[in-house]
Amino acid sequence: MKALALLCAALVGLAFVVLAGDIIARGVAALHPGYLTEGVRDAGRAGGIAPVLVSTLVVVLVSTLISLPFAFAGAVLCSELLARRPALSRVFRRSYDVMAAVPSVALGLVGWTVFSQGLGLGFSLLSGSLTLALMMVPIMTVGFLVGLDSVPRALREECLALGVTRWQALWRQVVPAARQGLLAGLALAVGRATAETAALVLTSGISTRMPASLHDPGATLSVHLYHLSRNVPGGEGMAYSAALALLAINLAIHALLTRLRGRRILPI
Amino acid sequence: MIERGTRAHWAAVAAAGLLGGLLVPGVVLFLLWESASILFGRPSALAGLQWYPLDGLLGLLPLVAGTLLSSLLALLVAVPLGLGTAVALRYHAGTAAQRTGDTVLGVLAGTPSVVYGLVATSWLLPHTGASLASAALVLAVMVVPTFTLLALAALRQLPGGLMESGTTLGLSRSQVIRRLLLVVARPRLAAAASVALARCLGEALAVEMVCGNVAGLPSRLTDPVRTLTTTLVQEFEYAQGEHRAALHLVALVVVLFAAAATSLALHFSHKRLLVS
Repeated sequence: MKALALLCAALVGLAFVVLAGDIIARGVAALHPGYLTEGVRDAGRAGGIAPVLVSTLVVVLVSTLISLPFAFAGAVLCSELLARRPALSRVFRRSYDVMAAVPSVALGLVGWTVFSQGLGLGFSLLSGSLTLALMMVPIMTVGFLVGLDSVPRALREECLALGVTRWQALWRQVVPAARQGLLAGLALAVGRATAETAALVLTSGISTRMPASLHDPGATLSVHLYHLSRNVPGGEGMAYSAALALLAINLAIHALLTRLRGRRILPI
Repeated sequence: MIERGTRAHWAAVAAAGLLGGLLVPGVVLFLLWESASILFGRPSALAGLQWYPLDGLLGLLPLVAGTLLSSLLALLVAVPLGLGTAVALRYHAGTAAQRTGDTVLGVLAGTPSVVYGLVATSWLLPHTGASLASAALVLAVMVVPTFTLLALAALRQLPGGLMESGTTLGLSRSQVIRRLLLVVARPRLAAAASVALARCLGEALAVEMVCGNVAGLPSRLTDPVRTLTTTLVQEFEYAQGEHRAALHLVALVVVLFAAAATSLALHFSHKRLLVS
């Protein structure tokens, strides 16, 4: 039993070493001083990833800004407004849980049909951001709920007893007390958005030109990686560099998450 | 200065929150609406064994088979491997090794699936080809970190003292783990497997990079396959008419599959522990 368990761990460790070693070795090989600041050349076989980084930043930022109010409202709805209606609160919580697991590619098709075609946005950063927001709202809500739930109920009642309204108690006491958990929820959703590919292939497209506005198409880093690997002969080296960059971003987000919520890693 | 808050404030919060809560039914209804023309107009077209959308052959079965086979095969690899790793980290490793394991698994769980797909194109394709086996393997590797983390969390949540009680009764550590701890943790482990299943069913690009994309019923592990999700990625841009409706139906099936797996996970994780 022990030997078997250790064998499994060794196999998983080996897979990780192969994965990380391969990405680092081949990713570094294609790097050059201008990688982060130059434009994409020769369909991605040469040059840097500056426009791709800009697109990634814009899409993640805009989708976060869109989803933040809705996610916060959803979490407050469950933990504060429905505090005395546990059954109803549970229905909403389950709904957010299920929504958080809806495959992104399906949301991508919804985004393509509604935003790109219906609203005429075509392949654009705006269409991608709106679609990504659909994906982020439930993830962020679930994360925020972990934060709000961590605040003892007694705090709210003490506030009420002192004549403070529920609205003031929420903003002055509960939100500051839940700060870490709320930030962790935010970081989790931003991490998922940065890693997202399928939904964006369908909505913000694979263009690697520098976007001038939200109505321009633009590939994010993971979409760029996918396109290089799948559709650009000879693009594999640069795809590995993109993978290296994604790994670095992911490492940073993970470090942030670990700091924010002690040692818990997944919100389940 | 924060206002005292009026009914209007709370109503705004409730409305915005409600919107998020209604996303699931909203998405399901939208996809149903968009696919209604084929679903109620020519449902017989969907039952076929062939997916040649340009010829009006819209049989979903090969795609469903590709999705289910690749996901279940992936679980067959990932669950034992992840369970063994979780047990090793929890009961046969020191604090430093546990911490390293947590970090590595955490980073891997957040890694974009296309990164797994990329590495698979250079490490799997030369050996297993563009096939069902490659699709299942890339899914397995992708989902092992998530499953292991959840399994580890399940083992860490077991009531303290079980191991001590068991060994005091004369059982070996291995016996306690197999006969007691893994049994008590079973609902949460099942929940972890269901979460992993939901991720496999919904993954699109990592699979698309290695599965071969031939819509047919595979008879061997080395046959190429095509899944529901990869079909969406490849055909969304040019689909018209019935084909377009059928694609929305494909998305609906994907959503329902993932929702079913997630509901299963919620069901298991809310079960009481046998001992507490």
